[in-house]
Amino acid sequence: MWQRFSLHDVRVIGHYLGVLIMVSTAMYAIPFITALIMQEWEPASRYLFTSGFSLIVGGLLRMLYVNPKRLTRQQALSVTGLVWIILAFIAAIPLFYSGHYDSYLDALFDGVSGLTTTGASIICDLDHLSYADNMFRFMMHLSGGLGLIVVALSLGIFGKGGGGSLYSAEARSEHMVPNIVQTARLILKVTLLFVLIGTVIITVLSIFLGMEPLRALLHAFWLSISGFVTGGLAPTSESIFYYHSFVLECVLMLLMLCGAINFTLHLEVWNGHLKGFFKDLEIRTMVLWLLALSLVFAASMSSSANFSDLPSMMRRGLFMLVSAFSTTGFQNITSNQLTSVLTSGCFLLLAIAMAVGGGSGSTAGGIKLSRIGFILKAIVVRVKETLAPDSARVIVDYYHLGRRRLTSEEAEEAMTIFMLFVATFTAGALAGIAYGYDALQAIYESVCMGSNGGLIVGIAAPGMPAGLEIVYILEMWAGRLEFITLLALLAKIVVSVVPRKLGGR
Amino acid sequence: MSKMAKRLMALGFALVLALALPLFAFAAEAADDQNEALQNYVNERQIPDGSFLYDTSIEVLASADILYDNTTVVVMGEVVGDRIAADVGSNSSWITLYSLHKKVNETYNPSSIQVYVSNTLADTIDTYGRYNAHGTHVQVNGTFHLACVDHDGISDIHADSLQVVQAGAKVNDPLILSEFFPGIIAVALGLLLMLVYRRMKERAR
Repeated sequence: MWQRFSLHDVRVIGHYLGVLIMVSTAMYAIPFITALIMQEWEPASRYLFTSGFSLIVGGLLRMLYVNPKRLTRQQALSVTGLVWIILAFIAAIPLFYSGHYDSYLDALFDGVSGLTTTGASIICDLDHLSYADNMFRFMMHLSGGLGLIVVALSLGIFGKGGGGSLYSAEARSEHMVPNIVQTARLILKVTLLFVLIGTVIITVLSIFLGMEPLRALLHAFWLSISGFVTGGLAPTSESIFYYHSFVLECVLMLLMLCGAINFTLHLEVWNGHLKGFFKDLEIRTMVLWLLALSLVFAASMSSSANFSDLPSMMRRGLFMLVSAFSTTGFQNITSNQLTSVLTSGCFLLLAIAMAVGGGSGSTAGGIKLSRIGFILKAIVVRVKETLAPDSARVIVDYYHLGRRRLTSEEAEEAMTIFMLFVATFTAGALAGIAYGYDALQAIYESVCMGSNGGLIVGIAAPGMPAGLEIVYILEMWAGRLEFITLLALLAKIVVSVVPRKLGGR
Repeated sequence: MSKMAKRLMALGFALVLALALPLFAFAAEAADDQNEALQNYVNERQIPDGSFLYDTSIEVLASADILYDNTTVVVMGEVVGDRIAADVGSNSSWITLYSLHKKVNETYNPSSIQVYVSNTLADTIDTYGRYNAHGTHVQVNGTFHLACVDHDGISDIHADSLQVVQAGAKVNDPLILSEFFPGIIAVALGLLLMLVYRRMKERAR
């Protein structure tokens, strides 16, 4: 039943990994150019070396197989599963040598966090980081948020070589247009458009706040990327409350909400199909869910002495809810205030919001609204079937780009992913508890990692235990790939490595 | 009066004086004590006004609980980032104060805090810390708020005074060509591999 990797499989997988690693060299070239412009010579030398290293590793891997045929589904799963972690290992090199990390493992944590758009950072002395290094952090967000496969597809890298398999393996479900390459290019265009609009608006705002024009432009560019791809990294150690601007927070909330919406629905709005947009299952679930969260949050906060006045609650509470729901990770309150000022109910609500996450086919993480919708509808089906006569056939519909029937496969898939997320959150929480951290905070931090939320409470910090750091890295990786790809890859590796006698056949 | 009587009287007077002097001292001490007691009188019904000055650190305030709320604190740190206007046309600004200790160890957990200062005080800051600059080190005396009511719940210090402890300084990042050699060699090798792969692909057709 379990097929091993053959030598042919390894060579094909190696080839495509090499292709993706070579494409990712652009991630290091942009910070290199930034360093040259800003006359940051030490970072420039670091990124030049990393660009070359990436080209060498990619080039060598690519030569494992010359002119490979179309990828099989299993090979695509392996490529997608491995490329994230391999790129993170390479990305950690310039980060570690920047001098802002205590260890290579810390740099790897930030590399994984950047690429998976978790946004949890354990960097030291962020306010003294070079512009080049900051540019690199947000390039990781842009590549990871779009999806490495999407970037490669939009550049036409794969040709006829199985881009479709890779696209699906990266937990991408939306097909905006029939052609997968055109879909990838549309995703890229939508993202760049939002980033451009956000950059212009935030630049103007920042200049009014008193920032120097160049710094305003860079901060605006980085915040727009981070907001739309729901990454969460910020260019300063104070996250969004550094700017003390309610208007800027509103702009970022809009960007985060847009980033958490399915890309296909963006195309619907662009084509003028507003009716379809508002009838969509995920949009309706999102509105109801945000409304419910806000009401419970407000009720809980009103019992606290702090943040109980309306302006504070609206500004701080709503922003944090939107940041958690979209799994971005921006904060307009301090990590200390998460535990010392927010009530425990609000604290838990943020964790639940991150766990549920945003829309499928968006840049957001978490279980996804569509799956929650499917599970709830499946419950409705069960109740109806129980009450209906034996001869009756119960059908439940939902609206997503047209009326669709909820199938048992969709409901089963939703429930499977849901259970896998819960299991991952539990495993991460138990690891945190085992290392002696407060149970509630350990659960919260685990949800942050597994949902790629990034609203950390402080367990993930410089000096954290290495074992816990590795658990969180695995959680971020698994959460980004939505488990199935990663589990399939691990199963394949184990079966291939275990000797035949031990493995049975 | 006989000489003996005069001597006896003088001796008696001296004795009385010798005995009386401590009494004066005790009386003075008693007066001091009484004054001191009056000065140190504790009015148990007096409402606390947070006037006690906490000489603390940014790390402590970054993890502060309600005990520190609305207390007067003195902290020292490096000014980093930018000066952000509190409002358009406002006379106040926000600055970010960062720990003087940059690395995490058993004792220090570097953190930052937002400080609300008047523009007059902010004008004394000559350098804002970033990649190529050490920011001005300042000592701030002000009121710490765990969730400031005036600023929609943000954690901040409203500065009453700001003193420059150490001026800022530029940091040199000199261009050293030898540092680029490993990168140039790596890129050259990478491009060479791309060329080799292209040749292999052409031969395979």
